[in-house]
Amino acid sequence: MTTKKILLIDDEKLVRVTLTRILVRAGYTIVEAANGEEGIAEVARSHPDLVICDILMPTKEGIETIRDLRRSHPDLPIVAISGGGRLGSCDFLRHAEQFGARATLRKPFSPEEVLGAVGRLLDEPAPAFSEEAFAEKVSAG
Amino acid sequence: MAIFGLLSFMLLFQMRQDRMAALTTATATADRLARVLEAHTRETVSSVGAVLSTTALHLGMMNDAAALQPERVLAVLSANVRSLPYLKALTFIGADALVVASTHSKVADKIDASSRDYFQKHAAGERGTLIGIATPSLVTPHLIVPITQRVETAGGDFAGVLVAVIDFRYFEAFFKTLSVGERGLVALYSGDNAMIPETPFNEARIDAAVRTDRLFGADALASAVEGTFRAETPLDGVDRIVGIREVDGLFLGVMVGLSVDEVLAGWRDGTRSHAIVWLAAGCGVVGLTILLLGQMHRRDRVTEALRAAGERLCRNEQHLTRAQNVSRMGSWELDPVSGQLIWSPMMYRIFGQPKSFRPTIGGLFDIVGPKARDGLQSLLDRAISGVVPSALEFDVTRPDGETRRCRCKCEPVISTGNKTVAIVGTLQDVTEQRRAEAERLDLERQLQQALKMEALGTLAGGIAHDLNNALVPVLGLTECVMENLPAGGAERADLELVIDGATRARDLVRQILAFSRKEAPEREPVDIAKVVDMGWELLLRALPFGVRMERRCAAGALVLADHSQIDQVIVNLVTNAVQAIGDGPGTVTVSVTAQRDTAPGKARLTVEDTGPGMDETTRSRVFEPFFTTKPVGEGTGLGLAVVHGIVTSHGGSIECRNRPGGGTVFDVFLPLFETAVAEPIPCDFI
Repeated sequence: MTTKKILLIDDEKLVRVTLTRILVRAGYTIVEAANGEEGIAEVARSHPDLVICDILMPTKEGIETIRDLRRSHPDLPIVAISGGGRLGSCDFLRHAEQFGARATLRKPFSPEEVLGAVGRLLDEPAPAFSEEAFAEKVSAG
Repeated sequence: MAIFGLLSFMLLFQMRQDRMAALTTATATADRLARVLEAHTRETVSSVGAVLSTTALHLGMMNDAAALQPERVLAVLSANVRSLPYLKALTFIGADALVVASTHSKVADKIDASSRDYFQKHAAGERGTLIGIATPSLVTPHLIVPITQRVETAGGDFAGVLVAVIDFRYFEAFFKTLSVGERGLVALYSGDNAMIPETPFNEARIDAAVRTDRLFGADALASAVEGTFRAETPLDGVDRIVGIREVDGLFLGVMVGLSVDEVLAGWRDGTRSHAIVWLAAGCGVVGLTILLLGQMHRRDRVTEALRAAGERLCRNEQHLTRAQNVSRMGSWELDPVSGQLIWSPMMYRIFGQPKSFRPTIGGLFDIVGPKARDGLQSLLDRAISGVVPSALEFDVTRPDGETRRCRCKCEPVISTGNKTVAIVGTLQDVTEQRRAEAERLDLERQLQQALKMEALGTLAGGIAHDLNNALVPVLGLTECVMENLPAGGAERADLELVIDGATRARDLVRQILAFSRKEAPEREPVDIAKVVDMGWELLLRALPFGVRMERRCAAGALVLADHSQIDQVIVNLVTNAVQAIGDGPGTVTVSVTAQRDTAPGKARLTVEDTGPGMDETTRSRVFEPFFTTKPVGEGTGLGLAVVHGIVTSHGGSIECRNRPGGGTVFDVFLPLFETAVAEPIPCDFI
């Protein structure tokens, strides 16, 4: 059985370490990135099977990162995580879903919630992605 | 000026008429004088003729030469010459043309009269009386006028000529009585135009060559043989009005001329006087006219200035009235000595008094009422003492019951003697102004509250984010560690406490985030009564001892809302009510109604408790985040703030009031679904 590789994109090291501990215990391989730009570069380099992406990050925030990843890697499952809004007042996770995240987790989360979401996305087949459907979903949201 | 012109014309016309009248009068005078002269001349010559005839008869009776002896002749002559006073002398010239005898002693005996015209005529047979031209006397230095008659013998032969001499001075004396003026003309002339005595031409010019036709020309005399005419005398160039008459039977004419110059002298003097008077009067009239016109002009200017001033005054009054209407400000003035009070029309409107109301201080105090009376009296007292008092505001209740807020300002008018002679003031109806100020203050308070809530929300959101990140390892790794510990062990129990604490912290942070979020929630038609029903059991389980709950929920309170958020509103309000009751006993009542008597219709969720209620300070801050009356550690101060945020994000409102009989009531109003309009709220990704 091939070990699944998961990319963690979060500017908060505490979050990355915690998720790494939880996911490594569950048998996943972890690569990390501190912001969206690094995350996109890491996807190109290490070809992860799943990405867990924070929303509020410096340099390149999560919504834009998720949108770009969905366009470059339509089949790549993405889990959006967020601790809330620092400056804005939107429900970022809902927007993240609209832009391509297939699961969302609100910080803080339990190990069960993380592993449940990751396992579900890696097991189920990726839905067919088309630019038109994506655009429709975005405009409807 | 036109009248003056007309009067001038009339004057000129009258002057012309006067001139014509003067000339007419002069003509009549000349004619009358000519008649007088003619009569006098006729009488004179006739008298002389009679004397001559008598004398000639005497001499003729001496029909022989002897009888005509000079002595006898002289005796006859002497006897007759005395019959007329103006008869100067009588001389008898014989048929041989020599003087036979003369009453004038100086007549030379040897005078030969054969060359004389009268002698020749009589010798030739002329039997009438002839009057000769004035001739220098042969024996005296004076002019004489000879009047002659033929003397015949008894047989009818020529016996000689009897000559009567009249002193010309006699005529002159009479001429002078005719008053023909200095340049007048009096003349006698014979039938052949030979001049006899005349005046004013002096004796030197009287000679045979002087004839009447030289005076005026033959045409003039021919056209006016008897009557009057006007002509210029070529000899002296004087314009004259001349009257001429023939002396019947004497082959003689008389002439009286009046100088036109002299005739018109009186008229001219009069005219000059009139002209001077008229000129003076004219100047006076012109002066008066100019003065009058000047006065009229000044009067017109004054009238115009008064009219313009009146118009300006009227405009200013209208402007003032309009300005007072716009500003709802009246003006008044008080005479502190007489107590007389006057005020502008706006004062009546502000006080709601009829125009028939007569302003007095007493009436003013009655209008303002007892509450403001002392203040107003103090204001007037200060003004009377010469001080500008501060403005005074008071309420006035109108006769129709409406209360108006009035602001009164005044200041004294100080005389040069440093006395207050009047107090002028304004009274402004500031009711609307104060109302607007109150509304503005309320809006400012609301805005301030909203800004504070927004700032707190932003701060809370930021804190929540960091807290959530911090809680990730606490919750995540504690559970991982717990999996390796045996169940029931003390270490595992400790870690469970860690997880409980972290979970509480997470919930707290989620409350903060719920408060700070303002985005449009996921909305769907929600029946508030059903939300209450669904959560009722859970709420009952959480009730402390002694507190009970009641619900009165009517169906139909359907709103467009996020179900979970409505549930949180109910839970938070009930939790707050239960905590307000404290250890109880008490009752929390939840009621839901649909109000359709307003537009738009509203769903009303009411949660009331029987606790101690709130004071005004607490009630004014009850929705502020982190405001709590509970001891430190027992309340977060976020429950009601979250409720406020949720309700307002749904387009609703929440009110807090004290419950009659004790306790607090929270009323939540949300738009009913049929009238609810979801307004998208922009999303901020930054």
